Amino acid sequence: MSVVVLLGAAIVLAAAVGLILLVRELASRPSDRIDGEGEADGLAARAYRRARSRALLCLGAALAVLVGGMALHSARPELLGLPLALAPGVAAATALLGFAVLPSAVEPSSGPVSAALTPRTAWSFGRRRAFALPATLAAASLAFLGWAALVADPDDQGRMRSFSITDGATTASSGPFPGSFYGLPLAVVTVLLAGSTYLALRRIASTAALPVPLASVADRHWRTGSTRVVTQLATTALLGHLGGAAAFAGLAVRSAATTISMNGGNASRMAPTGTVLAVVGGALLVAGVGTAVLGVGNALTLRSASSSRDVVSPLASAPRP
Amino acid sequence: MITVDDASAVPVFEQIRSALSDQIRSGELGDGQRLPSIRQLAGDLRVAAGTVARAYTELEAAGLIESSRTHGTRVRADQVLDDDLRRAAARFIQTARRSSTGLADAVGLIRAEWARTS
Repeated sequence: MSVVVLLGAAIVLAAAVGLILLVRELASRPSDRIDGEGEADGLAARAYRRARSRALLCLGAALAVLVGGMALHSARPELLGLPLALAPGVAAATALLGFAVLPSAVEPSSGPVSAALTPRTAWSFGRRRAFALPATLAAASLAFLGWAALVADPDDQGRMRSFSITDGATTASSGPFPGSFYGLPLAVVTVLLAGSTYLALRRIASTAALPVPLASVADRHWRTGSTRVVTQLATTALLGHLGGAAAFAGLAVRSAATTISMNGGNASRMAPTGTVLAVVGGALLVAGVGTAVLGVGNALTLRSASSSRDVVSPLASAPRP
Repeated sequence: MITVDDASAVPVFEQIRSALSDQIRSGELGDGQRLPSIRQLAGDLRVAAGTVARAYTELEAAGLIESSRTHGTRVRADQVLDDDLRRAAARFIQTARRSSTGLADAVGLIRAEWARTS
C-alpha cells in the first residue's frame, strides 16, 4: 500500500513539475504573448525560438562531450589525463560544428519579400573585441604550448610530459607538464576549435533574413545573440586549454624547483615562476567558468526581446556589433 | 532595402535589376558600396541564385556594378545621375502629386514627351 502511495505521490509531483515547466515555457514564448499582432511579430518570435533552441542544443552537446571526456579520463587512467585535457576543446568544437551544419529553417512568405542590401559576414554581428579575445587566446595557447614543448623533458617511458631542473649534479623532474605529449593534441584541437567557430559564425551570417522589413531589428537581434553565445563557447574552451596547461606547467615547475632546493641545489628563480604560472592558470580557469555561465545565460535569454516593440520596430535600438 | 513580389507581372530578375539600378542612379547606393553576395540576396529574397545572378550580370553589362573575386560586387564610381536632372525630377513629382497624377501616368507622360521630342 505504501508503495502505491509513494508511486502516486511521485506521479503527482512529476505532473506538478511538468505543469510548472510547461507554464513557464508558454509564458516565455514570445509568439504566445504577441500572437495575432502581425506577420512580423510571428516571424520574429519563431526566429528567437529557433536561435534559442540551436544555442541550447549547442551547449547541451558541449556538456555531453565534456562529461564523456571526464568519464573516459576516469575509465582509462593509462591515458594520463589526455582526455581531460582535450575535453573542453573537443566539446566546444563538436558543438560548434553541430551549430554550423544544422540546417537553418527558411521562413516562407506569402507576399512581397524584402531584403537589406548590406553584405553579412561572419564578423558582422559582434564587437571586434568579442572576436579578438578568442583569437588572442588561441594564439597565446599555441605559443605557450610551443614553449612548453621546447622546455619539456621525457618521463620514464619517453613521453614528453615532464619538466626537469638541473643544478650541478642534482636533477629534479616533475610532471605532468604540457610537453608535446599533451601539447600536440591540444594544438590540433585549438586549430579545430578556431575553424569550427568560424563555420558557426558564418552559418549565423548566411541564414536567410526574415522577409519583412518590420522584423529587421529582430533579425539582427537573434544573430547578435547567437554570435555572442558562439564566441563565449569558444572563449570558454580556450580559457580551459590555456588555463589548464599553464596551471599544470606552473605546478610542475614549482615542484621541480622545490625538490632541487630540498636537495641543496639552487633554483630560487624557478619556484616563483612556477607559482605565478599556476596562479595565472588558475585565474584563467576561473575566468573560463565565468564565461561558460555567461554563455548559458545568453543562450537562455535569447528567447525574446524585452517587448513586442523591441521585436518588430525598426526604430527600436538594435544591439550594436 | 529591396522588395520583390512573386505575384507581379514583372519578372523577379527585372524587379531586382530595376530596383538596384534606381538606387544606384539616385545615389542611394554610393560609389564603391559593396552589394550582398548572390547567395545572400537570393536567400533573403527567397528566389533562385540564378535569378539574382542574372540581375547582377545585366547591371554589370550596363556598367553600374563591377564584380571581382577579391572585392565582391561593388557599385561603380560616377553612376549617379546629374544633380540638375534629379532636382527636375523632384519638381516634376511634386507637380504630379499636386495634380493627383499616379506613378504610372507620370511615367507614361515622360515616355510620351520623350518620344515626341526625339
